[in-house]
Amino acid sequence: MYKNSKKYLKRIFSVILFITTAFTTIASPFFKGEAFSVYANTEHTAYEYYEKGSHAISTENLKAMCSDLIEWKKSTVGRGMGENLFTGDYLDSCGTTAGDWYVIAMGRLGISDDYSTYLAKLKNIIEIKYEEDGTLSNVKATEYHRMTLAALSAGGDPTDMGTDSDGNNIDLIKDGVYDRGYTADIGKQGINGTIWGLIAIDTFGYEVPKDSYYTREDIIKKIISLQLDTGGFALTGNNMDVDITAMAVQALAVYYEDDTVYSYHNTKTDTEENKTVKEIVDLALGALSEKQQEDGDFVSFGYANVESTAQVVIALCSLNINPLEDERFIKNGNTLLDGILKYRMADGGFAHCYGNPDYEEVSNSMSGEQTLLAFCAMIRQQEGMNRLYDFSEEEKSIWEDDIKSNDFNDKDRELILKHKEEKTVKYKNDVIRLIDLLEEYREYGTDVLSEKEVNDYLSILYEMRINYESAQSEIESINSEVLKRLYPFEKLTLGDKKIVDSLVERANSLSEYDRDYIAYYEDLIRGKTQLDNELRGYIIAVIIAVVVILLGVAVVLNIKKRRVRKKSEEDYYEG
Amino acid sequence: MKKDLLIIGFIVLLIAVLINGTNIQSVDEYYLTHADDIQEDSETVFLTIRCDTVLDNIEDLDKGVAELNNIGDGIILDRVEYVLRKGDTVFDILDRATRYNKIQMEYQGSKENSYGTVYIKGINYLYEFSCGELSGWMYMVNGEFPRYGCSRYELKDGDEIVWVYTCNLGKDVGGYMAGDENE
Repeated sequence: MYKNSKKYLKRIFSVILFITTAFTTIASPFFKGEAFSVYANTEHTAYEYYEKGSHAISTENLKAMCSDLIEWKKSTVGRGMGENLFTGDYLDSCGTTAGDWYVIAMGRLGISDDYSTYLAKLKNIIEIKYEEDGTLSNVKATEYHRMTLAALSAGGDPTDMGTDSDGNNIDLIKDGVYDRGYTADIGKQGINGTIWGLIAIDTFGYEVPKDSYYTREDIIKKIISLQLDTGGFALTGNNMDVDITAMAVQALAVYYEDDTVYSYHNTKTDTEENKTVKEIVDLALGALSEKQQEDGDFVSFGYANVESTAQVVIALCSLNINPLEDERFIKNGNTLLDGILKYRMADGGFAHCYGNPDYEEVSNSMSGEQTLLAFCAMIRQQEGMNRLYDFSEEEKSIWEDDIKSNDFNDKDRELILKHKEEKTVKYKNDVIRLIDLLEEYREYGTDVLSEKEVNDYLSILYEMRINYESAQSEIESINSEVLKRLYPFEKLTLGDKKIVDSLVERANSLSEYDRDYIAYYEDLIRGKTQLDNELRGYIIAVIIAVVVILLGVAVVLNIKKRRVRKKSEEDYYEG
Repeated sequence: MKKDLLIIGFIVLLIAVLINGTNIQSVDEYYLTHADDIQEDSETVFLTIRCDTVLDNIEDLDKGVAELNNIGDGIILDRVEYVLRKGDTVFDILDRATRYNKIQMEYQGSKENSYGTVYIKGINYLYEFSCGELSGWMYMVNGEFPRYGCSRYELKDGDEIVWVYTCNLGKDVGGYMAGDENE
């Protein structure tokens, strides 16, 4: 009963959403003629959604811009608006900056997509890295923190990301934050690692065990002891960096209301301090305010850009400050949103810089992801939801899409039965996802499949896993042999022919799909051609030599024969 | 007598062929195996890979990397001329050069995708952050540091590419991005 009414509400909501969106789209040309055509460079019109310098924007318009941005992103990887982003070759960027942030932004917006595949793949990548290196990264603690956010956004649990080679549970919060010190200092890559460590541990209010390497207080103190005398924070040295300052505020925002007085030694100013987080954050906000440009945007590394501005918006929203109303962040009548929309392109994406000869004015993936996060933070604030990186449970979701069912279906069944024998990496991501799904069924039960089916399919899937793993290790082995044996081409001799031939043969016996993963197939063919030609040259040379010898012998014999004849003729006449 | 002369003439011809080389190739084979030969009319670019900044910051060098003892005089690849193929980017040349010279290289991102660009993580086992928290690889073309990724920089004839390792966000190699307005 409850479920049905919820569905009904969803439907009404989507109709309303549709009407609003349609209205905005249809009505905008009329608006543009009047108050909305404030910007001269209409090629990147953003002002159908927002009136320049105004102190408010509707949630609907923010959502519409999110939709445009996501549509742009999908178009760059050849997907239509109705198609999922987190599938196919997008998964090649799973576990990297390029892949994870869109999952975080779209997950926080509650937009449906193939999160279960992404999560299964992420776990798989993490397990492999742990198996190979025992850690995700020796230097960059932020790898753990970004993956923590991605896992949570995709509906996973960062403290349970599979098992390492000793059979222990992989816990990104433990290994990436409170026990990170056992691998490397959490701040080894700079203050970035410490800031994101604090954000990661506060995503779900994770508790820090008593015997851990760092306490929460250690991490907070590590950040605040690096505050510059101006109130800002630096990536390094003593130059304030807007992005880092904004991110420090995002991390510290959780403790803004807490009146604990921290006593610490500030290593930048070399002074002893007793401050609350509120005092520290207010100083940082003052420093940020001072750096805001006339257009409402910010400069980092000498260039006005959209990402710095997006980070400041997220920082203010995390403090529940309205980024469009706070006087400290309005310059020359321009708000932070003016500062962001300056970079909006006609295709719905965002450019890194605008009006800067050093940069192309085209939509950029990184600019898009950070802007999407900023819009998400604003929407969350307007809707009275948790702050952007607070993943504790909440009642509503921004996008009330019908979340597509991720249950085992006929397509999955067909895939398993049709391709179970094939030795290829083609179905790798599907196999990873299905194993994850069916293992969950086995553990918690399901209505979709019988227990026997679950076990039968799982045993086929484990076989398929062995198949793709062997195809993959064959690809890797060919690739590494190519790098070892083939270069430099000039040094290839006929002695290498056997190896090169066998590599070509191995590459050719892969499935067509897998052969694309041979990194330098063209070079391999080139090496083989070179050696084949050389061999052919030798054979021709030998044949010519033999012919020359035979002909030579023939000539000599001929001459001899003639002499003999001549002699016998002479003898005859003399006789 | 005449026949002998004819045969001897033929022998001389065959010997000439032998001396001249017997590597007879089809046009396709020739182009495939000579793609990187520098001819008079080929367009070329130059590439150097350097990490001499590490020598000034050797105390910051990651212990694991230091053990490899691969820094030497700081020149990983001394200026080499490469044939420029159509559409070659800075990344393509680096990729080819490291392969041909068996220099280790690791990058993130695929050439074909549109997520942005390829990011060079490490060359010769020297990675980002291997020498302090501000270290990493940067590239110059004709003395300038382009502001976008190496797989998007299309090269032209005569371009001079230098990959440099910075230990201080580019400051030590002359590529610091304009700096904070405070300075």
